[in-house]
Amino acid sequence: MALNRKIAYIDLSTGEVETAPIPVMMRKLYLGGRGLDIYLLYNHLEPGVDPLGPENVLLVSAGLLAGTLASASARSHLAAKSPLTGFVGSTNMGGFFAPELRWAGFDHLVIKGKAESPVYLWVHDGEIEIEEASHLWGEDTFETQDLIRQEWGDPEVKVVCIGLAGERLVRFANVRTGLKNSGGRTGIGAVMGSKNLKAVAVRGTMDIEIEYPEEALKYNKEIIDKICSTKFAQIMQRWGTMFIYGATNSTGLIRCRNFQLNQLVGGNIECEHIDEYSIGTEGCFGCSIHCRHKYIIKDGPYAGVYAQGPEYTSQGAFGMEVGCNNFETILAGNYLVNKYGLDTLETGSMIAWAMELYEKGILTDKDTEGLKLEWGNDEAVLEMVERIAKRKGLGDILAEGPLRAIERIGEESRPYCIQVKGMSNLHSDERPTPSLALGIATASRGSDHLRSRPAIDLYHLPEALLKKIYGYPTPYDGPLSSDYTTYEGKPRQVQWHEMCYEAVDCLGICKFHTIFLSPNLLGFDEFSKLIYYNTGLEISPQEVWEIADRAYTLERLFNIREGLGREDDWLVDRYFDEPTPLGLEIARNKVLDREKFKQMIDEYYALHGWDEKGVPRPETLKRLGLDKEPSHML
Amino acid sequence: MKETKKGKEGLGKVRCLNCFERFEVAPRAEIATCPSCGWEWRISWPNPKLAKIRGPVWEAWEKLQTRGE
Repeated sequence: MALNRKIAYIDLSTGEVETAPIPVMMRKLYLGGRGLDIYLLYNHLEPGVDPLGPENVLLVSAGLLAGTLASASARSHLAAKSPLTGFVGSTNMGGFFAPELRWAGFDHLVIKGKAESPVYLWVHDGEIEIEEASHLWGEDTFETQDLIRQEWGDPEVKVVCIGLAGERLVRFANVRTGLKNSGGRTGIGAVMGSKNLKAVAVRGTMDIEIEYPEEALKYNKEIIDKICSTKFAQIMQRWGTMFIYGATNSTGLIRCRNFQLNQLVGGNIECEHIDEYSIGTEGCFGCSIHCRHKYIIKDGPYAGVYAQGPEYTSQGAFGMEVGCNNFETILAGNYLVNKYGLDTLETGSMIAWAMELYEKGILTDKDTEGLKLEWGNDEAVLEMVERIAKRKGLGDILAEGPLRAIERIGEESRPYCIQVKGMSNLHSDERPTPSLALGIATASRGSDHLRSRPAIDLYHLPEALLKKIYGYPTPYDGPLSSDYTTYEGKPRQVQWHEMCYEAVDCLGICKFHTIFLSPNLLGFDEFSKLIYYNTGLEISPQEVWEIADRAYTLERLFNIREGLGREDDWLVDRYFDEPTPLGLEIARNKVLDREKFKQMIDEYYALHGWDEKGVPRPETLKRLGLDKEPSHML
Repeated sequence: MKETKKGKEGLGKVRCLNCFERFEVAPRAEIATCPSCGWEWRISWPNPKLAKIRGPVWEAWEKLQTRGE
């Protein structure tokens, strides 16, 4: 059955490996993936430990439906205490690793301690072995995967690994699988590096028995038809997430030159340019969209490079944020961060911040060792990627992430650093969009667009449709507005998307198949049916919401245990003090209103059942069964 | 394409990012002007039946921004 995958506890210090079944009761409480990971993290991690010390706990998992007949059920999740923020570290990626992990018999790996020398985990058909990896240390993320596959003589081995950045403990080092997929955020790659863990390799041939295979197949066909009929999917199939740039840059909703502008005027880096380089598209396991391009760079120092992507985030990182208007710079930057194992978003944001500091004289040629960190200097941007990955000069400071870099550069640099909870913001400008601003201010893993972003708020949907979406599966009778510049009803939208994204992160389904960028995609009814047909578990849409609520609240409890307070759910002053200078009328001359923003946070806390300080109320904990955590049931 | 009260949803129609009105774009057109507010947009085609706004006509941008004020 689909529920018989195990949990493994691996101690890298002692070499001990233990396995255990996952009780159905725990599935009903947390499903799997991100949900069970936060339970395990909260229960196995001592508060206050050094995220880069052996006491940190690393979780590697597959979503509950990964490898089943649920569409796009490809997502794996990794968690730890974040070395970037000090709060919950959590990252999620597609590809083929998660299904393979489940075919190898496991859903969750709990990795503790630190190996004496580099190792990797070899997980195969119910067995886990710790393999020597000194020969892999120093290899990039592409080579590492190839070398492991060669060792086992099996091209179907799937690998999650780190690159140079993870080995050198860059605090925003990512984890990678395949040519494209990255678990980018919160620095999980540095946690792996701190444990001398170069990779986790998996190969499995243990079938996942689908509970109702005929119904599951039929339902999946319905879902694929539904997804592929949307305009969103048809555009994604052609150009991937890069399509978002067309609307956001046109409107004036992007960060340009760090945070000085909200539009790249004359921008020539639209998604359509990928047609000149693309040799086709690929998808993750079970996906009908295939949103990533395979491309070859034609000219310049990176001519001949073959890579996959880029995403919208790399357009920002190596385009708008750094003032570059050259599509090949985006392709090259995307390749470099993937090769070294760096979070593209954080890398671009840190470089853009350094460029503004250079412009203002806070950083000088002496600091940059002569590198001209000027807006639009493509070569300098790509050189900084190298320096960050190798921790060279200024790159070593930026590799520490926003808050530690501020400490080293000086307080005068702080106002220009666009971050929340120590993690940089996406290259979007949320000053005209209170809902999106609330999402990044309150997201549990630090500023982030994949935890709660109500992106469909930008579509000016009719209020009747908004009520239908946001009034279910839990009732909501409050206001909702089609106008994305208002503050009305936005806390509910943020809360709803938190629950939706948490649910699919537990299930291992891609967010692009949910009500994220299209109102016509999957929601809680579909999640409930997918769980039933594939696993036999009867979990109503309301119960899916409750599970998501439980997991999200536990993430909140984890953060509070690590010192989080209401003041951390806030944005830097520039959001409130500097009006947007460019864009369409709806986005121009906009700042966030502090008082209204505070009211939104109050409302958001109330919707969650948290008090005015953002602490879950006792009755909330009791309702969710969290009043006795840590309960040590796994 | 899904049939709606407005006709075949998405067939060569885009939503103006300035005024949010939907308007029809001539097949294979690369530039279109919103009949409601007059903003000019560059258009691309993910497939022959589906139009998408690629970006503003930057040459007209300054003039239009000034008018917007």
